[in-house]
Amino acid sequence: MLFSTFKSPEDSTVDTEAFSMLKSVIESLPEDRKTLILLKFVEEMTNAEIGEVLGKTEGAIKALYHRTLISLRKMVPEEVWHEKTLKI
Amino acid sequence: MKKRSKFNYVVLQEYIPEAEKQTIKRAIRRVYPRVLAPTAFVEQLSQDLIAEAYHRQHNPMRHALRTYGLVGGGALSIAGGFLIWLLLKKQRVHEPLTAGLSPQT
Repeated sequence: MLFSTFKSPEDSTVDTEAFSMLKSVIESLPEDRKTLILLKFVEEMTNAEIGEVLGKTEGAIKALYHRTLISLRKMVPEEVWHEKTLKI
Repeated sequence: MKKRSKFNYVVLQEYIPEAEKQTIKRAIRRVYPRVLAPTAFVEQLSQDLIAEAYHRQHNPMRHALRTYGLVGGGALSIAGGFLIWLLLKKQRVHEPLTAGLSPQT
């Protein structure tokens, strides 16, 4: 289960807003960056495997990964990453 | 031996601590939870792929085209070789005749 059973309505709203914002930010990323993030974090593929999928070298994937994280950090407010907001 | 520079190098690339990377990772995994494909879907997909691979391998049209291509290419090569041989033969025949007709000084 993604959400805790015992939550106040306020907590639920914050969670939903944070999730929505994060989701919309990721959806707004360019296709290759979005694919990279999902394959890296969700599917837990290696850089070499991601490179095969995207048709890039491992070094290019590493650089793209780093640039993507930096842009994500800039696009999303700091409080969204905060563990208490997302309850992670 | 090369002398090391006295200056400190400025790192141009922004640094992201590992803890922050892990926080981002956990946040994204909360938003995009991993969904495993149903077993039935995977089995059906594997059967479809095997059938497709078999169909492509045993395609009669493709086999016929390959055969005609080989035969046609071979025939063209032989014909071309024969033509070149004929041309060279004609050239050799004409050379002694023209040599004899050189203008006298």
